[in-house]
Amino acid sequence: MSHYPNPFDFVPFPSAPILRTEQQFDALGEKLSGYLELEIKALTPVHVVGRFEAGASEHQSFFFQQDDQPCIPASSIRGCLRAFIEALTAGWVSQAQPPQEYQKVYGLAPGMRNKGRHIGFCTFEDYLNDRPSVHHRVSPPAVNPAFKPGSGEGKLDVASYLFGLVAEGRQANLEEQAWKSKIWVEDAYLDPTSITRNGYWMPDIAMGNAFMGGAKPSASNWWYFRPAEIWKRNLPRAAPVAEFVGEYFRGRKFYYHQDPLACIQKYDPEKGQWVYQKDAYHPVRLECMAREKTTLLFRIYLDGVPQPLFQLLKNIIQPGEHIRHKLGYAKAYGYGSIEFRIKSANLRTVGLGIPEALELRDVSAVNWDMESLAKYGVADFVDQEALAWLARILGWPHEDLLFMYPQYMTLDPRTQKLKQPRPIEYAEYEHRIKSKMPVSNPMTVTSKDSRAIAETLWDLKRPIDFRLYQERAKDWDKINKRIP
Amino acid sequence: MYNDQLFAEGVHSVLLAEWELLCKTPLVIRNGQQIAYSDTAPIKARLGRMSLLQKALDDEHAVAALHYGYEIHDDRVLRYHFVPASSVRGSLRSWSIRHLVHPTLYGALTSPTKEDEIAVALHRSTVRQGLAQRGTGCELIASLFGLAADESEENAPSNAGRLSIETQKFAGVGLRTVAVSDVKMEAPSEPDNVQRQMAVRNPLDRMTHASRKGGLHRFLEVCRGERFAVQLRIINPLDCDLGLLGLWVRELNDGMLRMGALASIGRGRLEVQKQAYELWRRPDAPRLRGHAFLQEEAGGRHKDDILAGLWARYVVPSDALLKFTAYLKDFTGGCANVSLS
Repeated sequence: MSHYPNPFDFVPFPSAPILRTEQQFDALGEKLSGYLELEIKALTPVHVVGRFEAGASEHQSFFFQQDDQPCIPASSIRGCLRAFIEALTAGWVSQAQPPQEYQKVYGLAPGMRNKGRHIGFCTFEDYLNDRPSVHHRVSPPAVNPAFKPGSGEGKLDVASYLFGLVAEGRQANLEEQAWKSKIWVEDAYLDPTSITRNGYWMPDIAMGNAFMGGAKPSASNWWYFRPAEIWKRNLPRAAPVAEFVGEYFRGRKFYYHQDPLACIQKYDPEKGQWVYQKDAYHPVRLECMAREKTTLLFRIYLDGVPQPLFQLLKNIIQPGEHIRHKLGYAKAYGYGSIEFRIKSANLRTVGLGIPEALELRDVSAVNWDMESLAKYGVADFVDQEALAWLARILGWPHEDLLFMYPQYMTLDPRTQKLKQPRPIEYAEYEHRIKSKMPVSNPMTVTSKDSRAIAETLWDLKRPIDFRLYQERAKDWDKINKRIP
Repeated sequence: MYNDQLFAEGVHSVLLAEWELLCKTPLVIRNGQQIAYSDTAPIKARLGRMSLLQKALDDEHAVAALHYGYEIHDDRVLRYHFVPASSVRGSLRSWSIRHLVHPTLYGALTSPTKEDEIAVALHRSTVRQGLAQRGTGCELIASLFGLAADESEENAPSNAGRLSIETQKFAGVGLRTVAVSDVKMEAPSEPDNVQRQMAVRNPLDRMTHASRKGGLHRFLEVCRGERFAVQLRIINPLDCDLGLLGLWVRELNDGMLRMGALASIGRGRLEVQKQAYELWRRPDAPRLRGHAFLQEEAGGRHKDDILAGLWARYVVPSDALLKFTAYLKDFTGGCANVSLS
């Protein structure tokens, strides 16, 4: 029986970021200032969290408001566009957890988010796991430090040139590097009649942790991380287990589009596939911007953006027929699929001297093919592999595909009993793989090895290797064929 | 040629401008203070009963405060929110420098630290060279906004600016709450003269979409729809000053000239809702080249003005201001395409 693919996937990092000096960006062409007027159309219901009420049998999350009017905040729109452009143009990772977030944690430290993290790591730095009872090991940076903002020796990436950045100096004696934003995004307001509460919800549990426990990347598996090693891990009062140790984040996370009403049925305790045993089911009702509704017009300003990068920005705002953006809360359940629609552009060419008044200009669309990108002088800024992955993950229409988190507990159809997840015992691993752990323990694996290992252990546990899990999921062939 | 004795022949005319500015988007004017909020919402909920506190409890509840001033009313010291004139002046000056001064001369208009002797010498030389050529735009900026020099630098060019700005406080009363989405947060000890809201920003880690630790922050801002008045006074106005005023109004209305912080998330777009301009002239004042655009008004409702009966009053129609931009072009040599290289 095949499973649904995981609702998110990763746009892999290339070997190095694409960087230029500010002068090189400035010299790309004549600069434009002014504003675009746009609207956002909801392709699936959109939820932006405002007030959140915890109830006895269910929670309620209300749509964010500003000035007594529903509103999609500028920072959400900006974040959506910037995350896309960073991935597309092999840019720096402008938002990443600080070094202390993923440190190793022993036991169950109260109040710590990362209880019992067995292998610590940092986003951009080495991390020394220094407890002798486990492997004395330095975890390499989870992301190539070349992607750390400010690491370009005076150069910067497309996203930072356009959206600005304050980056810490690479060494203690260096001052912060700062670039002002050339893109100003305003809030997008909605008519209150665009808001609905009709039947939209997402799964949650009553109290304590969030339903999925939040995003907790672990270097002790090959989900967020690329496969690196296999360890034999000794446990107190239990048989040793095989631990699948990863290194380097797979990439930047994006969520697939899907129909939320179909998706959430899969999590319904009565009709769905999700088993709620440890914590009681407790849905969150979501107040949403209804499907097909549009926001009121809002503006995105440009402040001296070179013409080629303006073309690129337009492509990112309206990424053609087959790609759509996601924004807001509960993306994993299909909420937040949106389309930006540029309605008009009031622009002027920037030069030295008294500026001309803004004038209405035509904004034509550009294709993603190399010829068009080269014609507008932006081909060198687009990471083609990233574009291919963005088209796969953010592919539109969603063709009724469904995506679901791997089930923690499953019902055995034969015995009708719940199957508890369990780690793979080391003896079982050795028996299946028919390979002894080298004396030097751990065993280093290549991506080919890891795939073969995950395939061999597939019937014991599916979510070992993220890539294999996705590729063996329902409708993967459809997803894989998506192009920009 | 630059003349730092701008008032050597006395004050012969004054241009008074009044604007009413409407916040088309929220406005953020910070004062560097951190206050805090409390929320009684239970676990998992948010935005229950909320109040604004004067002291920051911890980073998680810290809120960047909104600028305020003090006034004495009925023997009590009260606080009120307002947009400081320095903010308005800073925005106008910054926009003018960016558009009228060649980028190579930006350094001439920013003072270096006194300790850096090389930078001070370089700055002084750049200022002199910039001022020597009218086409650099430095003269106009120095003349309108002033040019500062350290007291010890007797020979350094310096002058008071011809432009002075005043702002009026927001005119609301009894606004004791701050909006947080659709919840009204109590703010009993905060100023109550403008509608405010507390905005939240929460960047997401790109690899996991988890909230970035240390990235969550909150700030107070003035709600859109609020208004405040600004008075500008230009001593011995030149034709180019009127052209520049017209450009400021156009750029404010277009949103290209903003005030306050966080333009990147659309804050600080203002619209000039009401505007009025009057020019008072001594009888022997030099005549403006665009004199034909002015409307002379004798006596009438302005007879109580301090200058009435002494100087002549002219009304400058707001739609005439942009006609003066030709004089601005003349003054700066057509454009600011003059560098020192």
